[in-house]
Amino acid sequence: MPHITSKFTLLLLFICQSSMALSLHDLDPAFERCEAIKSQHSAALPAKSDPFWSLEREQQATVLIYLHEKSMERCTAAEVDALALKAFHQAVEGDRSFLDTLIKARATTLTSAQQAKLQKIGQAELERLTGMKEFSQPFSLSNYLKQL
Amino acid sequence: MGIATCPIKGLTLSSRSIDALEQMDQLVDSANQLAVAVSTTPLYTIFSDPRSAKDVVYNINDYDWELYGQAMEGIPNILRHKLNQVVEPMAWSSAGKESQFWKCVHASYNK
Repeated sequence: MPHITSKFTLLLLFICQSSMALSLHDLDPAFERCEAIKSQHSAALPAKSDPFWSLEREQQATVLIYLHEKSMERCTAAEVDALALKAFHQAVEGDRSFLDTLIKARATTLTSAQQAKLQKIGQAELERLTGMKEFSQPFSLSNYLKQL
Repeated sequence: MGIATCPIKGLTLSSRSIDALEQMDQLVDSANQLAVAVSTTPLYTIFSDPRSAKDVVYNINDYDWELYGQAMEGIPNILRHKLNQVVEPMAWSSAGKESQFWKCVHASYNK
């Protein structure tokens, strides 16, 4: 009898989980965790000898926005990917509304003009900057912009 | 900057700001989001129909920001982060009342 009860509980759990509506709020803890990281390290741009400083000021700002986006994407990747997988399964079952919501929420905020600026800088340089310790963890965009 | 320091008299928004407001509107459906707040606040017009805010002079009071902040309270953190990516550079790159406007936008939903 206890065996049957536990099976029934598991089945109930499964039904509840699969019928629970997916929400962007499911990612709130991940974003909270990554926001908290911002305040844990001091805002420091690369050394003045770094090629970053040879860019025009507008380009520097655009690069910072790009790097800010990338650092948060990396920090929240595990949770976002897990939610995307659930959204994908839901879409396969015939309801793709949340998948569309998630795709829209994940889209870059960089405008086409900003993306053109980044293209001029080049992928290799952007990857070099992305790999720097100053940009490896989430950072306060405002604090970095103030230093330009 | 706290909301209490956010009254702005005689604000006009540049094309750059209008573009940024449109970007924000695409991220969070402002008309829907603000529907729960009083639609007579000037911020309702600014955020729900940015194009109509061009060349209009606005006076925004603390209470308007309070309502806006309340309406934005429930937005998911992923969208809050995306909004910040639009709002923070605007606050940094604009000047005068326009910069104050963007700082107040930022403060109102990041309480």
